[in-house]
Amino acid sequence: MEAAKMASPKSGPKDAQVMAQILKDMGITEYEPRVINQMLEFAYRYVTTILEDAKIYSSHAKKPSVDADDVRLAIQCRTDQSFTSPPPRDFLLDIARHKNQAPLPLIKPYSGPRLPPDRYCLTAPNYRLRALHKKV
Amino acid sequence: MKRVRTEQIQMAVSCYLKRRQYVDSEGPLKQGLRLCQTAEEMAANLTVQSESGCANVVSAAPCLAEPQQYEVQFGRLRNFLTDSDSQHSHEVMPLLYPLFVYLHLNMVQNGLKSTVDSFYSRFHGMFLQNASQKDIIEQLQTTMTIQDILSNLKLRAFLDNKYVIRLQEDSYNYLLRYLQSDNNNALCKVLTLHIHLDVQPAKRTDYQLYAGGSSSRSESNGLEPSDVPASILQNEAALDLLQDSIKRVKDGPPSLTTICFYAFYNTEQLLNTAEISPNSKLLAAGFDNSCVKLWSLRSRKLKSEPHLVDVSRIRLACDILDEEEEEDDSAGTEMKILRGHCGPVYSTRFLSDSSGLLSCSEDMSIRYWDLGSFTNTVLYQGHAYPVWDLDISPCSLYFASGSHDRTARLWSFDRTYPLRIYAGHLADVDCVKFHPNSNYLATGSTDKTVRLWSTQQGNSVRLFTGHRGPVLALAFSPNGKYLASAGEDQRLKLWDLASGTLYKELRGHTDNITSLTFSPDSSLIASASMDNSVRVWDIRNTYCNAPADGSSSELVGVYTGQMNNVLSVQFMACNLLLVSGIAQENQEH
Repeated sequence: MEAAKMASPKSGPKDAQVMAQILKDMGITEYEPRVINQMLEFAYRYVTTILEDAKIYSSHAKKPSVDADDVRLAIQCRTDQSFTSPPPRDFLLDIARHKNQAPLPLIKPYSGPRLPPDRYCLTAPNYRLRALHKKV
Repeated sequence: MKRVRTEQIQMAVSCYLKRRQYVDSEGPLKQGLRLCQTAEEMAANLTVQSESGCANVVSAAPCLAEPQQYEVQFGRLRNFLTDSDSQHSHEVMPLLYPLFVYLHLNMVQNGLKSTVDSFYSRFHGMFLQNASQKDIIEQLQTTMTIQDILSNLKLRAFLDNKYVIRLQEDSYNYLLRYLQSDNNNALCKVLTLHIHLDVQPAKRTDYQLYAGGSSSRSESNGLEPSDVPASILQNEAALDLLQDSIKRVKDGPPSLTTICFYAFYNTEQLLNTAEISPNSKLLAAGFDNSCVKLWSLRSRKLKSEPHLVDVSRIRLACDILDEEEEEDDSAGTEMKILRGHCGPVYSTRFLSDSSGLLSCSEDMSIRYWDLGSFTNTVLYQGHAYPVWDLDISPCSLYFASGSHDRTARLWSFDRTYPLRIYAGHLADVDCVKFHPNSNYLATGSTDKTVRLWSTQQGNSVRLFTGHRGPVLALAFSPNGKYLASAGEDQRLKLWDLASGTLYKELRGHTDNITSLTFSPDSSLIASASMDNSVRVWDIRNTYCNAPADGSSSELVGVYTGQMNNVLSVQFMACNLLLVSGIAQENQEH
């Protein structure tokens, strides 16, 4: 499937037109048509999650209605959960230095397939047979 | 009358071409056949050719140069040539003397007394060995103004004529690469105006592609297989003959490779990676729907091996074990699906004895699959972000992974946590590769650099910059001398590991390069790219001529086909190149 050139949906719903305009403003000119639908779905899901969280926070603070502070708090909490970025470089260098100090474990010769101990492998059966109780 | 004659000639030529079945016979005729050239046109063509020849490439440099920069740039060039003690730098060394003289004269002409003095005092000492050079240098010391130069016959001769320096083509390329690597305006200006570089092209013999074996061999030094019975080896002369013939084979033209292309159909854009096992029996592919599919490349179907331990029977030493020959292949299938990951699988690697498979995925885990029973045996967890690439060390002792969290990690097969963390990149690590001696790990990243790490210590020992886009593929040469890296900037860079510098840069691809591999004797590199072509390059570069489309002269062959994307290239033993890619599907919209 080839990526279609951007065509502003003249007959589409207003939301789709707004999304197409946003994509154009961000400099994206070539995309498949289903991208707009996916972006709209994501936007809907994100906004509803934030607003639900804001409702919970405002009811916890016993406020009569949801206000901007609740929404701000909801956004901050969600950002820490879902939109994470890798740790900063100095932190990575720090833990790398700490980790690299430990010497490498020795390699045992002639040990066949090198696998972790059985506890850490996925080779154990993941079921258990239930004993039949004989009815007397 | 003349027009009728021209038309008759054109008709005759087009009939002849059609009879010989040249398809594009209309093309050259539409432009009008050049049946004759006037003397003026010939002269014009010749001057165009000579002016735009290789010796005039340097003339494109901008001409603005501050005199303060002369000292800086000249000093840098001198340090570069003295520090790198190679054959090329020895050939370029004689260039320093005319550069010094012309820069000095230029500064005197512009009347900059203090810079002239400092420039002279810093550099004149290196030219005092040669008598004629020493003579000129001492005369330079006394010149203060333009009139001094014009009155001195020798110096005036310098200005009126161009100084000729002879260079081999390799040394010339070496000099050009240095000049391009940094701001060397002043040196380029002097080179265009005052110095004539007589470049001698390297000796090349024509290299014919798709020729029959006999014709290409006859163009090289004629080799005869020499039968050397063991008894003669004690003879010194025969030993020399043997060594000579070994050398001729090694330096001869690389043999043409056989290429086998495995194409995937109907992948619906889910295919991320494909790899063939070292024993060429299995093909593994990683998909966006989290499964890894294995195909058997031989006629035998894939079948799980029976368990070696059968607890329902007790075998005594006196038992005769009857080998159950399973002659029905009905239990086997041609393809096996391995399910276990929860996200798209981005890379797979076979163990060197093809007994196991590692796969890494967007779900931040690496899984080991046992290929005897086709089950997932171990789950390695340690990354917190999608893992992009894997590599296994040469003796299958360790493996390394590169991930979006900007680190590469070293793992051992018997521990489910990483042993070393290689942190230092500024963006995610796209590819990892072990050196053949297992002591070094190379990582290529989206921050356009390639780093070399010490496997045991965990620190970065080399940093290779110069790419203009994310680095997507790496390969080490089996002899351990070179590292090839390529990526979105469509250039293949070869790094010389002993000196830590760029050895060659190969141009030619027109889209991202996705995979690289070296031939077992380290003389050929194959590269696969998203422009649906596989290119094979000869890095010893003794037997190729420059291709027409502007690619580097190391190109030996370009292979295209009905492909949408080429995913991987692998050289096997016996000069076989295995390529896997996605076949072009007919558009049915």
